[in-house]
Amino acid sequence: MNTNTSTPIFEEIVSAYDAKVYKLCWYLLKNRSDAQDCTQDIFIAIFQALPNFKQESSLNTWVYRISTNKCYEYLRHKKRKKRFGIHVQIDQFFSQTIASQQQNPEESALAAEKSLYFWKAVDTLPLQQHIAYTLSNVEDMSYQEIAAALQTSVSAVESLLFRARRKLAEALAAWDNKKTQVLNQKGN
Amino acid sequence: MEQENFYAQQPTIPLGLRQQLLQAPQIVNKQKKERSFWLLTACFFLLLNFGLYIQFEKQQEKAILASYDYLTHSYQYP
Repeated sequence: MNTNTSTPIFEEIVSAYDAKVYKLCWYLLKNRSDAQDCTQDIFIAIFQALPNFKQESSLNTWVYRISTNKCYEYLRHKKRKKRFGIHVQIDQFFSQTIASQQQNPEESALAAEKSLYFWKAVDTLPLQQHIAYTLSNVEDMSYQEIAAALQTSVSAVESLLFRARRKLAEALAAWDNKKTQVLNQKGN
Repeated sequence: MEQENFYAQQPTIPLGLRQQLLQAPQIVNKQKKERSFWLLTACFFLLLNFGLYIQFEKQQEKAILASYDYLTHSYQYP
């Protein structure tokens, strides 16, 4: 497959996967410009790898494998930046995921804080757990699909998701306890 | 935690994202051109260096031969 024949196929892939890949990048990187840059890089990698696509796996799996690999690189780069003290900002969108569902302003503020706390907890997860958890929740992918995308076994995915869920549940429970303590202190 | 679906909201897809992504073939071609340009430049300088080295070696050889000639032919033995 040369460049001329792969271009129409590439256009079809772009129209089918642009939103999905962008959404995945958005949830993994939590920043609009990073997500846009990463999506662009993913589609460049897809175009370059298209002549080598042997159709041994489904197109869906192949696209997600490239996407997760690129996101993995980006996240590693982002973590390195953090280590050198460069602050990576989480978009305001992530503090509003639950807040928008609340009617009461006080509840809404609390929910916004909780959302942000949750996303920060997600950010502290090891990269494999982070990606597996996001794939499972964003795309509702099955364990088999996640295993294919991450090039690992189904049992490894189960273990990754179990550990990720446990850590996040612990983080949210800690947040709830902290808030209850603060409210009790205010009440006294 | 199940009730609070943090992933429920859909992010807005930026306008013109698809157009931007469809530029990938052009970007790849541009990258290829740039890469071949730098590769050719590097090869050119490598060859230039090698040529200059050969030329220098030849000049050295000529100079040695000339000095040998001078010493063997111009020296008057008693």
